[in-house]
Amino acid sequence: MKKIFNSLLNTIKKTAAFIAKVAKKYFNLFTKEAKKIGQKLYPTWLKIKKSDSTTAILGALLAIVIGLTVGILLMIVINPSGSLIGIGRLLRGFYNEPKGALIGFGEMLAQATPIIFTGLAIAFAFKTGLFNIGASGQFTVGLFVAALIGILGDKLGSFQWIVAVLGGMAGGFLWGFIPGFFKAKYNVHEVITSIMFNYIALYVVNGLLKSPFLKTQVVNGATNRTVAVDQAARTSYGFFDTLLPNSGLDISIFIAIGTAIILYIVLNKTVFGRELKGVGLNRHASKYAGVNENKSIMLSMGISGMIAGLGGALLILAPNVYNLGTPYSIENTIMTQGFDGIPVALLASSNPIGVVFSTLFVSYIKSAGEAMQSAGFVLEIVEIIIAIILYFSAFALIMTQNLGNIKKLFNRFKKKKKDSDETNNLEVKAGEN
Amino acid sequence: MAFFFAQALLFIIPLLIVALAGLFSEKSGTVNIALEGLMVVGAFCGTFFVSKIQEIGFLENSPHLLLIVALLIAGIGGALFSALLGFLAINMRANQVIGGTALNLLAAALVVFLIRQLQPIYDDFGTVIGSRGDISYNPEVFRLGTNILMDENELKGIGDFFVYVFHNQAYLTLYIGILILVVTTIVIYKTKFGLRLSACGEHPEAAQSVGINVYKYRWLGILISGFLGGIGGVVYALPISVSFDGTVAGYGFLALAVLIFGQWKPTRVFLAAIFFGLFKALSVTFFKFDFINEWILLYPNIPFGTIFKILPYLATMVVLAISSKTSRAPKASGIPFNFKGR
Repeated sequence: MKKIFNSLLNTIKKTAAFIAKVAKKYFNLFTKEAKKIGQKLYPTWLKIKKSDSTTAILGALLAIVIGLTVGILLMIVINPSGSLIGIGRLLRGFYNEPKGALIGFGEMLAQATPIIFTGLAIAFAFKTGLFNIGASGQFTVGLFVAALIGILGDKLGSFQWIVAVLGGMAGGFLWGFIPGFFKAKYNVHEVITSIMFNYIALYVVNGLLKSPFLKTQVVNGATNRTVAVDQAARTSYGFFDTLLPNSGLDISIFIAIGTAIILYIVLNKTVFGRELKGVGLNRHASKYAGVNENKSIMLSMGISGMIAGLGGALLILAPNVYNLGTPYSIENTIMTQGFDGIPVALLASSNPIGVVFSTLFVSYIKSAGEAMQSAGFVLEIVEIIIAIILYFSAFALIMTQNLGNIKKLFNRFKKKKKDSDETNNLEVKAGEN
Repeated sequence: MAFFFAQALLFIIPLLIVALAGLFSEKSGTVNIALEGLMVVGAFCGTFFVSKIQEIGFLENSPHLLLIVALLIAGIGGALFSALLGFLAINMRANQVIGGTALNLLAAALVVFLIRQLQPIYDDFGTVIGSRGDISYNPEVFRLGTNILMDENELKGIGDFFVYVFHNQAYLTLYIGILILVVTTIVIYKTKFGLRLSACGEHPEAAQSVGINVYKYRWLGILISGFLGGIGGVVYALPISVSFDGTVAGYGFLALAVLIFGQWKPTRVFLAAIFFGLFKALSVTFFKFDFINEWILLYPNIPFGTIFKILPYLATMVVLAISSKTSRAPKASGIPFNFKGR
C-alpha cells in the first residue's frame, strides 16, 4: 500500500516538475516576445500620444465632461427636487423612449442622419479654411429639388429616387458655389454671403412650393405643407424594416457614413484634397505653389453645399414611419438642421469620421429631451448643454495642447523644491559639524 | 408713402445700433459674430422687464422713462453676455468665430428656456400645467405721438409728413439711435480712447510697444459691443410686435453685413443701414404702393411677394460685391493677441 502511494507521489512530483519546467520555458518565451512586440509598438504609441487627433479627441471629451457638469449644475439650481430624475433621464438618452429602446435607437439614428450631412458639409468647408454657415440654405435647396423630382417626376419610373438624390446634390452644389464665387471673385466674406443665401433659399423655395403651377402643396385643409414624394422616389428601408421596425430609419444612415469615409479619404489621401486644404491653410503660399486658389475656394464651397444638399434630399425622400413619407412644412423660419451641423463639426475638430461620432453623441443627448420635459425641465435645457459643450470645446483644444507645458512647469517647480531641500540639508549638516 | 418711411425707420435704427456694436469690437480687434446672440439676450432682458412693469402697472404715466430703463437693463444684459466672448477671445485666445457661434446657440437656447421657465401657467389648483412661449407687452404706449392720432391718407404737405414719420409713428429709440451714432463717431475719431481702440485692432504689437494695455482695450471694446448689441435687440423687438418669442430673425447677421458694407466707418454704416432698411421696409409694405399693385394685377404669374422678400438680401449682395474689393477691415481683427512681455 505504502509502495503504491510513494510511487504515485513520485510520479505526481515528476509531472509537476515537468509542467513547471515547460511553463517556465514558455513564460520566458512569452515575455521575450511580449517585450519585442512592446518595443515594436512603443513608437506607434508615442505617435498616437502626440498626434493631433488624440489632442482633438481629448479636447472634445474634456469639453463634453465640463459641459455636462455645468448643465447638471444648472438643472440642480433650477429644479432641485426633480433634478435626480432629470439627470437620470438626460444620461439615459434614447432608452427613455416609451415604445422601447430599440425604436428609440432607430429614431435617434434617423434624426441624426440629416445632421451628419450638414455637419460633414461644414466640417469639409472648415478643413479648407471656409466657414460655411449657409448649410441651411443648401440643405433647403437640395430638399426642394429632390421634392420636385420626387413629386412631379412620375415618368422616371425606377430611376426616380436616384435622379432626385442627384438633383438635390446639384441644387446644393449651386447654392454653395455662389458664396464661393463671391468670395473668390469679389472678396466678400463667405459668412455674410451664405447667411444671405439662407434667407434667399428660404423665401424662394417657400414661394415656389406655394405657387399653384407646381402642384406640390396639399390643397385641402389649412395645412401648409407639401405632399409626400412618390412611392418610387422613397429611400429603401434596407434591412431596418425587420431589424428596427417602425422607427423610420432607412439606408440613408449608411450613405451618411459612406460620405464621411469618402470625405476623409479625399481630404487626406488625394492631391485634390491636399490642394483644397493647402488653400485653407495659406492662400498665398498655395497660389505660389501653382494652385488655382479661386477655383479651389469655389469648388470647396460647392462640394460643401453638395453634401448639405444630399442631406436635404435624403430627408424629403425618407419613407419615415409606416412608409408615410416626409412632407415639408412651409414655414417662415430657416431649417434648423443647417445650424445643428455647426456644433457637431466643431466638436469633431472637422474630422469627417469624428463628425459621425459627435453627431451620434449630440443626438443621444437630444433624444432625452422629451423625457426630461415630463420630469419638469424645459426642452431647451438640452440645447443649452450642447451650446455649453461647444463653448468649452473652443478652448478645450488649447488647454489640452498646453497640458505638456503645465507638466513641465510642475516638474520645474518640483525640482526647485528638491534643490532647496537639499541645500537645507547641507546647511543642517554644516551646522552639526 | 409716409407709412413706408415710418416702417423703414423701425428696421434702420436697430441695424444701425447693432452694426455700431460690431464696430466697437472689430475696431478693437475681435470679430463679433455673436451679435445675433447679444441681440436676443438684450431683447429678452428688455422685453421681460417691460412686461413685468406693465403687468404691475408701475410707471404707467411715464412710458419713456420705462423705455430708457429697459434699454439700460438690456444693455447690461448684453454686456454681461459678451463677457463670455471676451474671456474666450482675449484671455483664452480661442477661435473667435467658433466662440461667437457657440454664444449664438447658447443665447437662442437660454432665452427660450428662460421665457418658459420664468412664465409657468398654473391651473385653478396652483399646479404647473405648462409655460408661456413668449413675452407679451404693449408697445403702443412707447410711441411718441400716442395722443395725436393721424391717418396716413389725411397728411397735407411736407410738414405733416415729417410730423407723422418723426413724431407720431416714431419711438424714442429713433433719437437714441442717432445719439449713439453721433457719440460713436466722436469717440472713434476724436478721443484718445477711440484712437487707442483702433490701434489695438490695427496693430496690437505697436500699440503695446507704446504702453497701451491691449487686453484692457479689447475687453472694453467687447463690453461696449455687448452693451450696444443688447440695446439694439430691444430696439428691434419692442416696436415690431406685441410679443417676443426668443428670435430676432437673423438681424445680428444682417448688422454684420451692414458693418462690412459700411467699411467699418460710423457714417457709412448709417448709410448702409438706411439702404438695407428701405429695401426691408419695401418687402413688408409693397402692397401699399398703387403702382406695384397695378403690376401685380398686370402680371399675376410673377411672384412679387417672394421677389420683394429676397430683394434686400440680393441688393446687399450686389453692393457688397462692388464695395468689398477695397476692404478696409481692421488689420488685426480676428487674430488673438499674445503678450510676450518683452
